[in-house]
Amino acid sequence: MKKLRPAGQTAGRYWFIYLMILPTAAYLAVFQVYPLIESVRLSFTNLSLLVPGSGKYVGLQNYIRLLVNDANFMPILRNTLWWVVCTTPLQMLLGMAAALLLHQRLRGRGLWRGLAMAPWVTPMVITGLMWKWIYDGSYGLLNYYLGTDFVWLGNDATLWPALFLVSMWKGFPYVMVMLLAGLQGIPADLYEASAIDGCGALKKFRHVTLPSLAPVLRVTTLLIFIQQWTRFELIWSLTQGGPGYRTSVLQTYVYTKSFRFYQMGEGSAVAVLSALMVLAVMALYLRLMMAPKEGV
Amino acid sequence: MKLHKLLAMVLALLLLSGAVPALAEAVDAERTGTLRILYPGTSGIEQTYMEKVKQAFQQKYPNVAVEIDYLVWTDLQTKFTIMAQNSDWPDIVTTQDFTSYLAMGILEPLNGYFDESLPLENFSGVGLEYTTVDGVIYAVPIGMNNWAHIANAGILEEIGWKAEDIRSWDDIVAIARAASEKGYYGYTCAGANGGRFLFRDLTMVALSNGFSPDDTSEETRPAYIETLQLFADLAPYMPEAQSTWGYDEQYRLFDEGRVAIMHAGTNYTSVAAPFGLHAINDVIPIGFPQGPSGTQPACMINSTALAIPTGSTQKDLAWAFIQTALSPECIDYYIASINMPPLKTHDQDALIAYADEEYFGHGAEHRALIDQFIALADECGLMQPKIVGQSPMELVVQAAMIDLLAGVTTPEACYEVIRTGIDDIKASLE
Repeated sequence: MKKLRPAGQTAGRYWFIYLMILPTAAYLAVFQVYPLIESVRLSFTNLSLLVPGSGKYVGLQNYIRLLVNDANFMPILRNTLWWVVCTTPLQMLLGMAAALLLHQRLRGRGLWRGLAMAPWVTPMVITGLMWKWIYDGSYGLLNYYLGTDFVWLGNDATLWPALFLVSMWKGFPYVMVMLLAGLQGIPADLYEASAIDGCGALKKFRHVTLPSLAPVLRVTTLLIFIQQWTRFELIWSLTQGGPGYRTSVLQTYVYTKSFRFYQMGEGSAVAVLSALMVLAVMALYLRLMMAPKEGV
Repeated sequence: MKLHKLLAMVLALLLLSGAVPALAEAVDAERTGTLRILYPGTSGIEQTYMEKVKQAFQQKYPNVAVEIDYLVWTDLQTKFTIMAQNSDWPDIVTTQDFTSYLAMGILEPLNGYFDESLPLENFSGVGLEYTTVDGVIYAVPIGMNNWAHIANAGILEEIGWKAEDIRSWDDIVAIARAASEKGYYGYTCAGANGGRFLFRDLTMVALSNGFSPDDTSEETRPAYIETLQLFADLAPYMPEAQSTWGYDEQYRLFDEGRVAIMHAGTNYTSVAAPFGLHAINDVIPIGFPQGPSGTQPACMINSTALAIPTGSTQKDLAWAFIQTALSPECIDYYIASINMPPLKTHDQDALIAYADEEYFGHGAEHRALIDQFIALADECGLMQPKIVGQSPMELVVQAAMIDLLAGVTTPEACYEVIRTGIDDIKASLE
């Protein structure tokens, strides 16, 4: 039986490994852990940059104000849920379709795969400026080619669909890449066997492709969900959360509270609430989707 | 003979040794460092001006590096605030609305910096007045902005109006209606950019009705609702797309000759220049006419100014840069192209020449337009209210007025939203 070594001996033996991971650990501690702790701490204070000497501990006052007295918070929370619930499946669907298409033997498949990545590699600010021009109510390309005069980013009926379209365009390449990798891992024998059993394309997709891709789909869906929940720059570059607060989500509200209202305490409270919500959803998702199946 | 030559050489050496210290004083090569400047590069002219200042400064201080961050105004405010909180102080920050900085206590008082190289007496009173609070000067104006309204002379003529006949709010609504019947927009506001421009629009109209938009007292309630009612009356004659616009789109609409009246400032030419300045000869600045509760027409004056943050460790160098920025060879270029002069005297010929250069031959028209803004400022100019907490108030007003202009709320309901929001902000500042 192997003897367990005392921890000190282990550390002494593997000191070089610990030394190698020290820079990463330091980076994480300084740029991830410390800001997280500081945000949580600030959320319990009344820090306002416009009030010298503020920053005193006020307990749960910020949270109560947000949840009970802030007329904007609940509509913004609803916006956030609406945003995530709509954009996640849209990106998954388009990404799946693109992956299935680019998995086929097409002429110039490598070129098409590269071009399909273009939205993903375009910087977010450029994306926002470009789509803002496309959507402009008076000077936009979309109205020009459609012969319409909608104010796509100013009209309640078109505002969210316009944002969903941009999000879908921007995010589908990532899903496509993940699912392509998954598709390439499916043994060809399974498709041959299903063909022998008389399965058409739809049945192959339903009974071979989807089950084989299930693990990748679960992980990718979770990643896209978290990404969309924390999305800030796309919405900010397009609408800045406006008109008014119509397209504000929790992440833009953190920015607005902290850097327009200079209310750092309340801004931090929004950030903490947002983090708790996404953690709760994530925990539930992991429990439901990633739990081992019975009998396995 | 040899003695004469020797004496001549000694004399020459003595003379040269006397000259060397003078040369060293002309260029102080010993100064080293890096100056960091936050500056709004919202137009090409403003960027070019700052590059000129940088060049002129570095001729005097060749060992001082100058780093200029060109940002839009709202980003500039955010960046400066964050830098100050992190003690990562820039050396110069450009200001317009500076009351938030004042509340944070991050601007250096500048009274003691003025000297014979940049005397206080050279400045026109209004420019410095805006950047002075309780006798303390917090920023040095490089240009004075006159935020007024502008009318399109061609559209006015077409609908049978003259600018001098605009005397009441009813006249504004009548013009908007008549222009709309001819296929133009009657009025427009820029509704995006976090509410900055919409708040400015409200402020100018509010001043003509005798109050400041942060005054939510019961006494001003009727005047406030009257003002919001005016916007509601004008809303049918405004473009729907304006809720997504900044100044670029708004000024473009005017330059295309498609809107009768809108608010604009002495930055009109610089913002409209990329679109061709087609309407430059049709621009008539007007003070917004006296409102039902007001006592005079109004246009609003503030300054674009350079300030030194309290945490800068190179305040002397920063002041030297500001002096360079206001030297004739630099400031005349800026003033030729945008805003009104902060100093009492400028070379008028140079102004026209610079303006011609920048505005592809439209220099004379631009100078004529600025002269009209200057005359208007003398006639009915009011200092922009210095509102602490203006930045968050802009958002409150934007959210409420977007609904008002879309016709989904009434002026009374809009007022209640604004009043509640502004009162909350004021309470948080106590």
